[in-house]
Amino acid sequence: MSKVLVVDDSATVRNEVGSFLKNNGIATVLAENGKDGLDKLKADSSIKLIISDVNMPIMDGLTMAEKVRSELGNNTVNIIMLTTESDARMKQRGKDAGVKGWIVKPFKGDAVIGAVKKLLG
Amino acid sequence: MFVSIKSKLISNVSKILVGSFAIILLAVAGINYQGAQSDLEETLGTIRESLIAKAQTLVSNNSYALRGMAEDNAFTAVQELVSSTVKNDKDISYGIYMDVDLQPWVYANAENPSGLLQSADELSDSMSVWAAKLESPDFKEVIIDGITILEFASPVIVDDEVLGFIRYGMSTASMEETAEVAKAKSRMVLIQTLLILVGINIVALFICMKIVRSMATTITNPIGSLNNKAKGISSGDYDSVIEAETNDEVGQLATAFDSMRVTIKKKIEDLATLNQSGEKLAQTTDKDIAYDEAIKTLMVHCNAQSAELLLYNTETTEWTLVDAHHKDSVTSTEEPTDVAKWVMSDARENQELFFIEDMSTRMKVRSSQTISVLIVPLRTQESLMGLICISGYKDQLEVSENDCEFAQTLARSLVITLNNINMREVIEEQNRTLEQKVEERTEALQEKTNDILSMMQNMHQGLFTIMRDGNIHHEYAAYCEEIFSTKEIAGRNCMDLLFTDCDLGSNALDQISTAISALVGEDEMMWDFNSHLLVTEYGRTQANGEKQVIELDWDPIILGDEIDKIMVTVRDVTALKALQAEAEEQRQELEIIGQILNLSESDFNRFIQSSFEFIDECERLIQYNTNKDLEVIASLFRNMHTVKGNARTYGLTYVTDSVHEVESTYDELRKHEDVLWNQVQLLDELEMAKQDVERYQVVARDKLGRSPNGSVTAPLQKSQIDELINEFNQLDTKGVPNEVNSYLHHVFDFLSGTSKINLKQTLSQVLGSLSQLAIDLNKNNPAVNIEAEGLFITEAGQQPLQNIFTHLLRNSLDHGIEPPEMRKEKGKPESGCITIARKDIENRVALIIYDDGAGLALHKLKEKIAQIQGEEYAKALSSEDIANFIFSSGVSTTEQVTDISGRGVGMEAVQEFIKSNGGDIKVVLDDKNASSNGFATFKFELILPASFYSISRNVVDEAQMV
Repeated sequence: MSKVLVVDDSATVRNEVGSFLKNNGIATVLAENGKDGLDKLKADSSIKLIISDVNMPIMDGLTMAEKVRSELGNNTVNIIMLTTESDARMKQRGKDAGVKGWIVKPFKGDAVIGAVKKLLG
Repeated sequence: MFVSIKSKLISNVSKILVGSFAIILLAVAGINYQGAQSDLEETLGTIRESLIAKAQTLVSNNSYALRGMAEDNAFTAVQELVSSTVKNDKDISYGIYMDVDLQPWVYANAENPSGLLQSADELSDSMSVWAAKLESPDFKEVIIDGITILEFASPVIVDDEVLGFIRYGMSTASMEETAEVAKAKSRMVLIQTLLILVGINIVALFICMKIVRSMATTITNPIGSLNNKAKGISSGDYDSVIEAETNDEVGQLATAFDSMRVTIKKKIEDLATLNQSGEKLAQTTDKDIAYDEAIKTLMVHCNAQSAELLLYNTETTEWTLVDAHHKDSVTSTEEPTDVAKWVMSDARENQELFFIEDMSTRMKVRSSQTISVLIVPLRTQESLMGLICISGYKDQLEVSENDCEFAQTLARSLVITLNNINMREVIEEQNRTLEQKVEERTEALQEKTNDILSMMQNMHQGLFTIMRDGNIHHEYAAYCEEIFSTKEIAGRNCMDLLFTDCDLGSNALDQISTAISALVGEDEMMWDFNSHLLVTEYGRTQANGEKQVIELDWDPIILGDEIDKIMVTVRDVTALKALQAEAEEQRQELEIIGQILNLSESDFNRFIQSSFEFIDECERLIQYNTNKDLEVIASLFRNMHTVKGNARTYGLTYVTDSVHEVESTYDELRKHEDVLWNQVQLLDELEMAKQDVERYQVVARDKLGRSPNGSVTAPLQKSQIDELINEFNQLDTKGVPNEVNSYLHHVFDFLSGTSKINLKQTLSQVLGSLSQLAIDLNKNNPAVNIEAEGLFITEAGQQPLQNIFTHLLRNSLDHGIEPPEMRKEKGKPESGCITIARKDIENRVALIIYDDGAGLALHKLKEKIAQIQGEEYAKALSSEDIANFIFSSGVSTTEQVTDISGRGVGMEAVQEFIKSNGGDIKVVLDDKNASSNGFATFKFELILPASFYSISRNVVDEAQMV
């Protein structure tokens, strides 16, 4: 079964998104920062979508997205950034790293579920 | 590495010659040697045999001669015989005579020719022993000093008695010498023979070499010249003829080479022709030129008399002659030749290249000569396009394999050319159509653009698009300028235009800005994620200071899978909102009027009056108390709870909400220690509730023309009527004339009729509100049985009883009567039943109120009491005591506090009120000994205050009243 990797340094957001997805029948893996996310992704090949915060300690979300493509060579996993900020420079970096899109907090549950299900196929 | 055939030939033949000569020499030498050797051996054998024969003769002669001498012991004679024999024959190396005792008498040899012996020692050597045993002459070979000696011996016998033995040693030395001489002779002969042979061989070898050399030259020279010619061909010389110089294989090879040269030359020429034609075909855009070129080329190439080109239409399956040439006529004919007609009538589809050697076998031919026909198909990949048909005299028409190939290649070129021309025509046609369409579209587009521009200029709402950089597109609806009172719109940041001087917080603005950024230029899907963050209504302050309400619609403009732009529709809804507010105000007023009209004037006035009293009391309580006091708060709560209950009962909904707010605030205050006592805030809140009540009063006065006091200020004061009734009740009417009595009764009825009504009428509002409550609670409307015959409620009792029953009945429906499903499970009817029955107790009138619900949750009450008063206290209480705790402040057993009835405080208010008016209310359990660990059915026993009721003296009167 396809899983969603939720990466956020805030346990509140992480658990909220995680349990929200879980309540809608979507399996999740949680990670605290970009580096943790990379490790979890490496360990679990059933992860088909990453929903990640941008600003995080140790490794930020965009750097993680870049490393997912360059270091892990994983070009199939979809990446969505969950953010409170988004500017042209960040958007360009995201686009270069194959980021599918940006969800601005606070997010709307139904839309997220719909899109997540669509992206998981 | 190149090694010429000549040197290979010479080297190999030389090796063979030298080898064979060497073998011949060796063979001759071998045979010679073998012959010489056998000759020698034969000679030696002969010599030996003659030697043996001579010696045997000698020995036997001697033995005869010696008989007498030995018998006579003639020693000297013996000695002379033997020695002379030895002396006379150089082949005899020694001669011996010995007696039987092996005693030698003579031993003659080269050293001792006389044979005389100094001493006569017995002979003991092996030969002597061998000789002594002989009985007849014999010989034996012995080697002495390297020389082979043949010893011949014979016994000397006289009268069968052996007297001695004669022995001679014959030397073979001379024989050996003879052999050596023979050998030397034969060796000489051999050497001579060999020398002669070698000489002959060398001469023969030399001659052979000469012959080989010349042979090799003869063979390789033509090959070399052939080789040179081949080089010439490979470097492009196809004109030099290769002649066969010899009549052998090389000659054949040369002939083959030449025919190859000729073929290649022709092929190249064909190729050149094809190239030339191909070029012409490729360049032309005219089909007729293409036809002409193809059939003329083919006709010339094959040396044909005529060539015709027929095209086949696959749809109509018809043939058409499109071009023809004839050698004899200059102009091409329109009419197909007979051959072409035959081809058209007899042609088969999917036909391969086809040659008819003699056309007369197929059709009638006018010509006296044999006519041959070659049919070349023009084929596209899928189908037959047409045929080229060339005909000519059999002996002139060239239709070799090469020519057929040529024809097919030319046909392919023609097909390609025709296809290209067709394609070009199609493309040109399409181009023309396209140009026309583009023109039409451009026109339509122009029209649309004009329409849109005109709409943009004239539409009465703002419309613009946000581009990827967050700025506004230069095409926007002119009305935007009016809404935002600015002309600076094109290229301006959308946030700046929309939200300058707006009433949104910075957080909301940040969210909108981020959402826009996360939408434009992103995947379509992002709209679902983020569009909810875009506000659809907000207020802003215009430059002139006026407030403005703006309504926005946001729509994505999708290009591919991406949100290319965001379209924003802007409406200034300030006026609309104001109108809406006004309409809402009017609607509410109408509703209020309806609610007021639904009530009797007196009920309404009583409500207004009592509400103001409660609110005023609350106001005073708040003003006088600067600190939080739980008892004060309890009073405040009870007051507002009563107002709310009344408002709800009467359906005065605009009061209910604000009063509920206030009540909730008090509830928070009394329940939570940390909620602070804030006089200003509490007064403000209370003021809101008061204004809502006043609103009703104002509407009643202004819209309905009611006086504020209404029927309360009736000509007869209530107290006066009560007094009159009291007096009437005390009248002793016995003996009063019937007319007077009747009159008095009329007066009594009048008085009591204006002021007293029965219980059912009193409670009509409360009972009416139960159905809505039931709906709110998802329960069925309960049946309420009122059994209170002869009981009339005085005006003084009407409002209080309404208040009391509001609490009791709501409590019963909310907490007592179970939801329909639960009732069904318990086997009860789905609708509950509440009974209110009159019961007289010791001259007092009481009302017994009960329902068929679950009863009181005694165990929960007990828990509550234990929480408040302690475990011990709770344990000591009887079940009924516990039940009566429902009248205590803060005791509620429901899990969920509702705004309908669920705080338990209502009961406290009820009891307090009744007691203060001289009545009482308590809970009586159906089973006094019911366990306090579960539910217990119960009844309320309400002893009515005396001022609340009167008893009809006449049942008939009451019946009339109902």
